[in-house]
Amino acid sequence: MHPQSQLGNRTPFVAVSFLLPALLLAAGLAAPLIAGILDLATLDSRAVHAQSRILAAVLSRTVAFAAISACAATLTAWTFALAIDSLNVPLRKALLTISVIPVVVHFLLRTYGLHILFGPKGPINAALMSSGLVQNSVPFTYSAAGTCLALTSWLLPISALFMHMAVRHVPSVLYDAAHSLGASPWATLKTVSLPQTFPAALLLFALNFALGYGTYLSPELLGGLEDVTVVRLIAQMLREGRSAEAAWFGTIATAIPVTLFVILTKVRSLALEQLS
Amino acid sequence: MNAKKAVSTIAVLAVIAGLLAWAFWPDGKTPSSRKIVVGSWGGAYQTAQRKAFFEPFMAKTSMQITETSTPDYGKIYEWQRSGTASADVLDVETFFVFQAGPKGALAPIDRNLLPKNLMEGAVTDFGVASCAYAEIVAWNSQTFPDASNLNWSDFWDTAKYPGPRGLRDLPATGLEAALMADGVSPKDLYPLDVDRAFRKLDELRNSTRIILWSSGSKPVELLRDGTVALSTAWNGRIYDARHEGLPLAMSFNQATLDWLWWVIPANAANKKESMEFIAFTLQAESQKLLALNIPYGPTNSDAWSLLDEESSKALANSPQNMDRIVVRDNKWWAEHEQTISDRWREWKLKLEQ
Repeated sequence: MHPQSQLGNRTPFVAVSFLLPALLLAAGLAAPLIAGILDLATLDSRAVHAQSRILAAVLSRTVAFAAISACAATLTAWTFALAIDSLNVPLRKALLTISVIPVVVHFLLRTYGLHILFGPKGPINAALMSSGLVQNSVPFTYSAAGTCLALTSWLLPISALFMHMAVRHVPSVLYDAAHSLGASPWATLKTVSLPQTFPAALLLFALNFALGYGTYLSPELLGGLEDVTVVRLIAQMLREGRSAEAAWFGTIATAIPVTLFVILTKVRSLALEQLS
Repeated sequence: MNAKKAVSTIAVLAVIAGLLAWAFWPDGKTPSSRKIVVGSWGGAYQTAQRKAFFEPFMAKTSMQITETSTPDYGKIYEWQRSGTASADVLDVETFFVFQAGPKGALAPIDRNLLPKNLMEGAVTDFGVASCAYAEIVAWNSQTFPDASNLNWSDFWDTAKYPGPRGLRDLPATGLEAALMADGVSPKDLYPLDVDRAFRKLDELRNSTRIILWSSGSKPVELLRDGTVALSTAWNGRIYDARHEGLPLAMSFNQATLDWLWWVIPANAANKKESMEFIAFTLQAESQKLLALNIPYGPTNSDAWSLLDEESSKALANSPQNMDRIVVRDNKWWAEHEQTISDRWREWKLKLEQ
């Protein structure tokens, strides 16, 4: 059959499958923006100024938390995956299983565990104080550090699995070649492992950023006074019945992880092109 | 023959009309099928309400009460928009009554059905205060064994009582406490000097770490774990914690009095029955029963004569405590809530100038 006629037969399918969701998405994004503009029109200039300052501060703090946590989780997972790759199979499987256990433990339980571990009377603070490194307990909880800690611990198990899969997919022929050329382990890491897994790490960072950016529980449970994030603010707006404001702020806020994702995907494509 | 036909037709119609009247009486309900859904806060508070309000009301009226939780306030606005409501009566906080009522999310209160001796300010257009509680200063008695009768100046005194502070994430609490800590006498508190209050809050923030809480169980947790040295808390929660053996202490000195309110969502299905229930809970006897089950004070003045001295001493708004506490001016808050909420947000984000 002619390709043109094949496409012609599929036109209704394409229209329903792609155009309809695209139109719905566009309407879904446009509606809160319009509602928001109408909402803004009802506020006086002092209120608009106050709102802009609040929203800008919340956006920048959320970006910072998401970037730090995504970076920490991605780098730790990458290091972990590369480190266990050289181990023997039973040990590697055992370590991988241990790293994945938190995935099946409910997030609230894990957060409570963090409270106990990092709380003012927890073992980490007790160890720090008994070693003489600090005089008073370190405020790991209800602080910016607590937010990043919780986000990183939440992202880490899946990130470890993701990077492990990426490391395992590096063609073994490349290692064989490096070995036969007499490359040292460090040189192999630098010239084979890191460049080959870099695109995956980039993608993981983008995903982790988006997840960290949009999560509610970690900042709510372990965040401090100033650590208001986008979703915490949206939740507060909804509680106060300011749904139009919440909707348009949410729509604008979505642009940040989407833009980052698009940029990093492009960089990843370039990296992949270089590899091939 | 025709007359017989007419009589039998009338008889059939009368039977049908009778059946319909029975099925839909009154207001579309048979007497035994009348029921309402009441939402509250769970825990010891709802248990006390069950004993004091729900069970006696069901026994008296044969109306059925289905208990649920007070939902996230955002949901009540959703009910307003969608023209529905999953509950008939809800127990809510003060700010919500003043915020949601004018926005049309709540049904008006029928004042004619309510008892006469309710405390001043306990009835508004969209809510009725069901009990009084206080926001108090609480501390861990093991950390500060010699502390007693602490007030807001002590709360701000981080040299004498070192350590982080727990503060309710509500502008009213923060501003009232700050002004009293700055030396404003409780009787001169309102209208609030907002700028002065924020300056005093900055002072606390600069001298120690502040942890905000929004759930009533949180201050108990924070004090128990040693995360904070002093915290604001609801008197009933600390009372419960002490009852369970936790080493917590509290003081009514400069405590701020607030109420919990009954409201009816705008689209509630059983408004008349809901008002009947609300009126019942405000009877002196019902109010006395609640106070005996949890230390939340009555809003019906007649209830005091039914309580002995020992029981009433534990209640925030008892005559013994009234000269030590501050009554929140909810009318003032209704006018200023929106502006101050935005400023409170700015303060939290360190955007205050």
